[in-house]
Amino acid sequence: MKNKDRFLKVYANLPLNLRNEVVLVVPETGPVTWNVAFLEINNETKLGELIIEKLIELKII
Amino acid sequence: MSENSNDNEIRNLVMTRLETLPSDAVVSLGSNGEFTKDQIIESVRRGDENGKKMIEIEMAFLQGLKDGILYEATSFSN
Amino acid sequence: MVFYMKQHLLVTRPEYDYTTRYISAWAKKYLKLAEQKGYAIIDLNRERANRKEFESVVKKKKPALIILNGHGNNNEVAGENGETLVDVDTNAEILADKITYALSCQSAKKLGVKVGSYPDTTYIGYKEDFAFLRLEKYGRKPIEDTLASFFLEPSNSVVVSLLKGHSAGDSHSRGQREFSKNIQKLLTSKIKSDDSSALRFLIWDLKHLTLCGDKNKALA
Repeated sequence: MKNKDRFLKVYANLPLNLRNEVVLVVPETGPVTWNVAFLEINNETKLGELIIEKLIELKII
Repeated sequence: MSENSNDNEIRNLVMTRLETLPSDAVVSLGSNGEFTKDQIIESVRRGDENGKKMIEIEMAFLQGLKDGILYEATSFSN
Repeated sequence: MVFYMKQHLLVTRPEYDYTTRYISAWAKKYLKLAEQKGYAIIDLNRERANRKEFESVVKKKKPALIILNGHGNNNEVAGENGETLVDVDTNAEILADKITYALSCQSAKKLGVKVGSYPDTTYIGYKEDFAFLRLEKYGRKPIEDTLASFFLEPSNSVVVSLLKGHSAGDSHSRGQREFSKNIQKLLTSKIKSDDSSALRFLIWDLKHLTLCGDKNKALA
């Protein structure tokens, strides 16, 4: 998956208690935490792809 | 992504994140004044001056994570 | 016979909204230390935090350390009811050859830069708004507010360090370290999430804590 490494690099460096925080609000899906984002991205789902795209646009990764 | 849609996404993100503020917290933004949790979320929703400041603070935090701001910060304490 | 001249410390403590009341209450902590260390304290509290009295006292007593608590912007720091005490265009030179610590929004951006340009002068302050969280239930007892303490203890540590004779540079670093310690506390898994909401504001304040001018200057 494209740019998966960009997400993983940031995620891996996050303190544990920040991983439960909302990092994105996806239209029609709702709030997504870092942990949920990791699950989707790590499993290379369509939602994971969308999350990566949005996080890059928002300059969060 | 259009600028407006980007702004909306940022606004929604910040509003959602601010929901985790303690219910009895008051945010002091200096000369801009003081805001309860509901007031600051409303300011972000409206996009007024204080809302924009809050967005700036929140996005600086989120965007700084990839640059290691937390560890930069903790390096001062060593 | 040797006469010992007490050094003067001037502090402004307006109290007309919750923010200024909080900062004023927390300032009493370092004022206690200043007294123990033998400083002559000029405490411009509430209505005394006005421009006329401020200028008069600075000229007469020539305090070595000035602590400005109050609202502000790029160009100025205010006293009671928002009255301008010092601003970049009219009386910035009043802070020359002193150490100033300003717990005031944005003043290090322009006012601080101007003040720091004078010889033998230091200005420590914030380039952006000083943001903090407090809990409503402690409105009448600010000192007991543990959430606010995450912000105001590091701010106070700058003054404490100066009072102990450390240089402005070391005191600025001390402030940074204390903010960082609190940030680190909030990053561990044992903290409650209510307190961790302070993180975004602590990072902001740490980022904007700034020293302008002579970093080697210290109180005698």
